Amino acid sequence: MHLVFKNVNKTYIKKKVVDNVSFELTKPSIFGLLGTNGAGKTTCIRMMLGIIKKDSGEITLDGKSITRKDINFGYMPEERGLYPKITIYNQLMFFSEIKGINRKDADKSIKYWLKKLDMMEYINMNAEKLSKGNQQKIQFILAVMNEPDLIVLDEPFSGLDPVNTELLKNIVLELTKQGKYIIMSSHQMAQIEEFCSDILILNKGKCILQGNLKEIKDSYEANKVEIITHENIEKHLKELNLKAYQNVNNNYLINIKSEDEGYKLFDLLTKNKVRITKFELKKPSLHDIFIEKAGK
Amino acid sequence: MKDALIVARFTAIEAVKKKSFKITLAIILLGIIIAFNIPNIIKLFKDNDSNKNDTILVIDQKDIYKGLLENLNSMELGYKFEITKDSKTSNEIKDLLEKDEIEAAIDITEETDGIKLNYLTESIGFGSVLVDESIFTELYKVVKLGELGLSEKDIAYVNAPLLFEITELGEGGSINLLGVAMGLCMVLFFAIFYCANQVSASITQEKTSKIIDTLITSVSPRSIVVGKTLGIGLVGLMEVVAVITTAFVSYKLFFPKDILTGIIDLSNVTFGFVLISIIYFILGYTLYAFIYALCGSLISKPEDLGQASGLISIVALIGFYLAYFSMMNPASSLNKLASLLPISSPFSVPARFITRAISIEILLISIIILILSIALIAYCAIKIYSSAILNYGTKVDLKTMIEMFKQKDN
Repeated sequence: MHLVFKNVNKTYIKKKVVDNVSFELTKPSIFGLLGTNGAGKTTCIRMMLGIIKKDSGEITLDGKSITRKDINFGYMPEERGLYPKITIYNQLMFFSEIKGINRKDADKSIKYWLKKLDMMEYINMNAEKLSKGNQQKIQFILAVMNEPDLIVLDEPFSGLDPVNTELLKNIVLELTKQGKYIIMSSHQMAQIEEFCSDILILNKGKCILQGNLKEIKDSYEANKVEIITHENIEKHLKELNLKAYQNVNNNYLINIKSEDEGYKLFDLLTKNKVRITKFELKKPSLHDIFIEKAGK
Repeated sequence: MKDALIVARFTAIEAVKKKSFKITLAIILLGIIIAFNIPNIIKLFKDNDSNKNDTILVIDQKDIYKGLLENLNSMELGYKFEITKDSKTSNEIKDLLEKDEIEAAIDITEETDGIKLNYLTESIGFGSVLVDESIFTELYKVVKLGELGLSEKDIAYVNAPLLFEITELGEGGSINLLGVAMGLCMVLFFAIFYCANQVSASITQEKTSKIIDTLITSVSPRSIVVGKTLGIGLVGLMEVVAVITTAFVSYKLFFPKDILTGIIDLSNVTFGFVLISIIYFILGYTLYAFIYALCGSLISKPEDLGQASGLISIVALIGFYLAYFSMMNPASSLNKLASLLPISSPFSVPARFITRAISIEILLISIIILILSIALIAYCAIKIYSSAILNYGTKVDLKTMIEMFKQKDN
């Protein structure tokens, strides 16, 4: 599968919601689609899945223009919702049927996924009786039960307890190993860093950063230092016009303008025979990069 | 289309499973059975009152009626008449009434300005006068004509009613089926008001519940709107069939046959009338179901639903009354408008068809207009639904709606 999204634009009621966005998925992996609220992520996803039409640009799958029917996808939207008064089995069966799965295979798939997510006991229960976390697991099943090639997961772990988060994380990794293409959208940057190889950050419909996550992070110089000592080092920081923005029991976090400034600080501390337990030049996290890019 | 049918089946099955549906339908069907049993219930109460005396005492002290009052007992008026020449005081009559020995008393006296009938009853209320006073007037005429020396034959000739006949010079139709057409109008109005209206509720509910995001990625907006309308429409039609079947079975089993004689005559039902009624019922129902779907697509909050549905009910009411007016005034020029206007033609045309007041050309034009209206409204409903789901949460005003139509997608 080769999915290309090239120079795509979309205007909705005189507002440009997607502005010349490009990216591509060439190999099974997890792709991070990030952005502030209203940045255009959902519109990109809907265009990619053939739900709404683009105004201009190219969206192709294996070289052919995408239509709704061409792409076998699963989608877990950020806005969770199930039919409250309908049993889990009946709604999973309904969605299986509209995705073109015959009832026999759908029955098999529903039971397989319910067992896998430890949900079999709720099979004949109305959705409204399920906890929020369990409803979310049903939404996840809706996204994966038709064995899609492309899976779009919007905030897949939000609201889940640590046990279920771990359970879902393992399944997501398992799906990648099975050769699935996954697009993950999340505001939890730590999760994106944990899962995604490539990312794209949208802001007000425009792509403000994209590429391989490691390469992006490597392109940034360290901008802070973490120091753990047995003594107060404030006077040494003053000598270099530095100030700790966090100091808890001589565990310092200090902003630096360049890596050289960090090395100068290290030299100064060793020269003054300060006993250092930890000295680490820290590169900006994805969270910092996101704030820097999208917060402008 | 396959997706729309899956959505329709799912919608219909889940709607039928709802407790509210089962309870409401059960109440309606029970109401119909009870309604058809009202004459039997009244009869039952009458039978239970059999120990009550059904005698009416008629006091004719001066024998003004010359013994003719005995004829009252042969007139099958439902009461036994006890004729007496003995005088009774008010207290004596009151006593007889309280002891239930009589139902009422009529005291006949001769006054200077004519004969006076004094009707005495325990209490005055609706239906407390059990005998029509005109019977006594007619009998008195017979007495007086006899006094003038007329023979019984002459008296019978004088009293004979006039012969009155209506002759229709037009092509004519089955006027007795107007009652059936009226009944169909009511059933259609019920179906629109009670069933079709659920389409907007279902669409709004789905739009405002967050399921829409999952649904829209699985199936096209067209399949959702058409499927929902078909599904709810099917449930509505099932309800209508259940109502008509219950009414028919109740009529056959319980209803006294003589009551509707002359009002409804099913022997004149023709294949053409049945066909036209079915076509207009389905098209009319579909039109209103799509109007409700359009309404559901426009609304972003369930609390606005009542107000918007109310407006559609008014439109349906206008359609219904236009048809009613055309039934009552077959010569009115408004009838053509009622037959062509899509909101009223489903109510109006079947009635005009049986009275043969509609030409084939107008009939065909009416059907074409109705089908085109359905297609147009369905298109608008789908277009707005598709655009609105991209925009849910924000109010869809007229300006936004126009912009939505300009959108090239979906």
